[in-house]
Amino acid sequence: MTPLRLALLSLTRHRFATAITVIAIGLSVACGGILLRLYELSESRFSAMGSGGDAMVGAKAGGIEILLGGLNGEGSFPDFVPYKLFESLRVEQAVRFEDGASTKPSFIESVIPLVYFGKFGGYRLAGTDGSFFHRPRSESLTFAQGRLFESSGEVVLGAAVAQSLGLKVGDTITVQGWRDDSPPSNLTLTVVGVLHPTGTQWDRTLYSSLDQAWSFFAESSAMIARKSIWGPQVLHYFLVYLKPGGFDGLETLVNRRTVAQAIRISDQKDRLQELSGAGRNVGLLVTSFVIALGALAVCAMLMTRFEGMSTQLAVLRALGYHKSEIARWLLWEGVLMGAMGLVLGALLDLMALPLLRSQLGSALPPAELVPSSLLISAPIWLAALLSTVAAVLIPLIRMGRQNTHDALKGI
Amino acid sequence: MQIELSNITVNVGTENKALFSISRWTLKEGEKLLLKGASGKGKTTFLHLLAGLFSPSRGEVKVGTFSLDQMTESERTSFRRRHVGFIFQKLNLIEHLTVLENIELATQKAHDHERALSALKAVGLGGREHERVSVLSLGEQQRAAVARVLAGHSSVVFADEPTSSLDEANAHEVARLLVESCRDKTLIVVSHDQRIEKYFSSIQDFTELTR
Repeated sequence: MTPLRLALLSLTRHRFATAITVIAIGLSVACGGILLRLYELSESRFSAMGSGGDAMVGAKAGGIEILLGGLNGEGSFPDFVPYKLFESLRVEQAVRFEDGASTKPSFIESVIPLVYFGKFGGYRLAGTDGSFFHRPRSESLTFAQGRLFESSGEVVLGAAVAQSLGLKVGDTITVQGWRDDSPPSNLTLTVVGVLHPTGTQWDRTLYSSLDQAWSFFAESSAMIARKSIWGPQVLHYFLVYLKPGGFDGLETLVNRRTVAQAIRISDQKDRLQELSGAGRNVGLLVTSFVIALGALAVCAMLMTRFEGMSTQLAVLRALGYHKSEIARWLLWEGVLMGAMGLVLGALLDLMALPLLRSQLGSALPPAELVPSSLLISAPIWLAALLSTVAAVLIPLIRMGRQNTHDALKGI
Repeated sequence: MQIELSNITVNVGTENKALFSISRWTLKEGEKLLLKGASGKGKTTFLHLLAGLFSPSRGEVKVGTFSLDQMTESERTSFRRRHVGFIFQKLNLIEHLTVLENIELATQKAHDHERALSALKAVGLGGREHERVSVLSLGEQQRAAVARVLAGHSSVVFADEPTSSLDEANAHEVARLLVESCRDKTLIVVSHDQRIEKYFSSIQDFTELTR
């Protein structure tokens, strides 16, 4: 009888113990896989975040919320900031306040408008102007096909949007409008340009003109009445390139005297990394513990099982079974249980992550923007399989040390 | 297979205490020997010596053409697989396997069903091949152990107290089956069970052997 057959028979005849062990491994693998995927998702926020100059301005909110909403396209429909403030900053006009005070910003290198107003195939449609594409410091976005939008009804696609949806210049698309009301209405746009890939959030965004966005907002007077005191000419964010030492001036101007809030992008990224970094480290530590727990469960089960069978193993040795054959039997048992645990764990991982993602909401990047492949959990599977095989080593060593003569004398 | 022992000394325990010694002993091929003796004198160790499960402190053990004392552990294991059949007092069988699977443990080829089934039939366990051994009575388990010897390709069979746990009827049945199934084999049974003496061509006292 081959070691594999012995292993299969042993597993099927000890169904209850086998099932418990497989479930233990499966849960370990699932927990480990989910934690690793959450870690990767958390990491993706930094690696795939859009570039946005030195600072951002958005409606008053938490700094991280503004950062993720503007540069990662995350979160619910943001509050508006007035276009007039943007205009003043862009042309460095004096900004006058209701209390009579005024200030003339002189710290701006460039400022880019951004307003989100539609969704298409899981990607967001942003309203902006040419400054978004022609940026200072060699950060410009270049066109792989076509040109910039020139009028309403035209749209430019990020590289990932065009590639994943198979779109090209000349195609017409119907975008679902997004303005925080229902029922949403649709916009029909013609693709006039496709950008080169940047490896950032900007690849996963569609771009149209500010006029397009504002005319869409203007269609919903109820929404404008509810969310804007400035009419439809509003923005969600400004991306600001500052002159050296310019943030303090921007912060003083915007945060103290307006409805908007300026954030320094590097500070908020550091803060986000600090916040999620601790969680990630704890997650990785817990993952290690969980995997070790699964391995110990297998080890304990195999030790108990083979200790109970020590005289039967001695009988096998007396019948002419080599130690290597019995060792292969044990290894097969470990590998088979590990493999079954992996399949179970992968299935649980597959089912649980979307559930967890929906529970965590905006704490994670949306699935349509940053999908999480099950294969990210592959290192956990490998670790679990190796742990399971390693767990067999202890009963294997004990079996190797067994004196067949002594074990048989009691029979 | 003829068995020959010469100048054997067996010491056991951490103090290397002498258990027994045999100056010269031979068992001819095909002989059926019942080895009697009181407990604790080393009968089981003697059987293990002949099967290559235990090495003497000194001396030569020759089974057929195989000098066990010259062989490695792996070679002795292969020797047992090809040439030796073993029956113990109890716990002969692997509990979680069926009767048939236990018999197949001793067959040379994987899934050698026919050979295993005919062996089971020969010991009166035909039709029970798919039952777990745990549901068999002790007598039936010993008969299954005899079937395992039958199904194997052994030319020498060692049995260690195979009937001591059995009632009268089962003891006779197992002894008869064992001797009959070993018609062409060399058989050594170690036992102090007087009920089975009549089945053996040769009976020897272990104390005399080691004198």
